[in-house]
Amino acid sequence: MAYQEIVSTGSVYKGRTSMWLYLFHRITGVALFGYLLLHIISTALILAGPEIYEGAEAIYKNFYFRLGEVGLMAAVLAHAINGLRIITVDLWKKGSDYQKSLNVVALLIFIGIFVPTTYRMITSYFDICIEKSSPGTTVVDCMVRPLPDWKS
Amino acid sequence: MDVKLRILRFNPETDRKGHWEEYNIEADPDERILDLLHKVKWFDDGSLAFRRSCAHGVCGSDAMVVNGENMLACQVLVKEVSNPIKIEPIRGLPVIKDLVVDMETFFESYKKVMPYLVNDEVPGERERLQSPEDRDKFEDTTKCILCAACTTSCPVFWTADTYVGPAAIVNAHRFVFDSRDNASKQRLEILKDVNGAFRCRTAFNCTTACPRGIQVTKAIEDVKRETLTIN
Ligand code: HEM
Ligand code: SF4
Ligand code: FES
Repeated sequence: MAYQEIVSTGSVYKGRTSMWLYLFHRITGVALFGYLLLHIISTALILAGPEIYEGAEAIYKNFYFRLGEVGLMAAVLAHAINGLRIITVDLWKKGSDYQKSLNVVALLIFIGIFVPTTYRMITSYFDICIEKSSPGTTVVDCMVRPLPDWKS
Repeated sequence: MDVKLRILRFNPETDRKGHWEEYNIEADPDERILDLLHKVKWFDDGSLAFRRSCAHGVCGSDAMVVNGENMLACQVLVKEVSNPIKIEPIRGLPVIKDLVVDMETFFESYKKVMPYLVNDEVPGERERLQSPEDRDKFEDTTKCILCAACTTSCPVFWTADTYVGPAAIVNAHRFVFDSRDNASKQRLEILKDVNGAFRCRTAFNCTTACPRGIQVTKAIEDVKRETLTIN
């Protein structure tokens, strides 16, 4: 007679917001850790010489990577703000009474920082791109291709 | 009304995996989920296994996953859930048969926190006295019926049954904050462990699941902060 640890067949537990935030926090936490490893490897290329380091950096200088950076910023920001929310629930005596409000507060703080930061990141990308590229380069040019004559 | 009941069945002698079975039942909107299970077992398929005893939300035998959420089958009416009704065993514990799970780890964790009054001093002439304010500190956690709805709704417990779980912490809370008890420090030592209160990730599923309306996560948070006061 065999016991079965998990018989559940593809049905999802109906948790509320905080359950999904728990999952979200773990996913962003692990993803950020993965990114950090890659980032360390990439920056460590400086040990192999400036040309190789610059070569790797050049790969990142296009609009798609800038969008990726916006995602990275969002992940760090959301993880950090959600982390502070969790700390509040843990350490503030009334934290668990107000947990639903704290979820909303965390979301509002996230939006409050995410929107202007994204705006700055996108506009500054185009500013630098147009400034450093050959005359006549448009925003659309900056978007669709990496710019070979864009030197750091 | 016609009700479609979908039950996740598991027969240890023939199955390697659970499978859904569907039953069409004539039911009154005011009947309880437990009544539907009885109808299946008594008139349709006698091999269906589930636990129940009091049928009135007191014994804590019949916690199960109904439409994706933990609840007591004897406490929820047909009209309170959407149709078809999906029923599964509570999660994170080994299934013995159908809706019956092995509660061994659950009760091991419960025993670990010493869920009884520890006080060797002579009580005096009559009972040990306590002010109403002191009594209020643990009023909420006296209501637990050990149904395991909280512990088996916990995403941390699903993947790590070494975590003592909400129910054990609720029952520790019951005595940790009791001014008549002398073993708080021992309990808090146990709950300071990596598998203790701080393993809680504040998903709040337990609070939603508790059929007694206990503020389970709040109790866990009280215990977390209390573990920080001992060294
Ligand atoms: C920027 C400020 C940060 C804050 C305020 C923060 C806060 C927190 C907190 C409070 C927890 C515990 C969550 C809980 O108890 O449920 C946590 C978990 C975690 N964090 Fe962060 N964190 C930050 C940055 C990072 C970074 C940069 C990484 C990646 C390298 C990271 C990776 C993780 C991981 C893997 C977990 C475990 C998740 C889990 O147990 O579910 N965190 N963080
Ligand atoms: S705290 Fe609530 S959900 Fe948990 S075992 Fe006790 S009665 Fe059941
Ligand atoms: S049968 Fe006793 S609690 Fe439901």
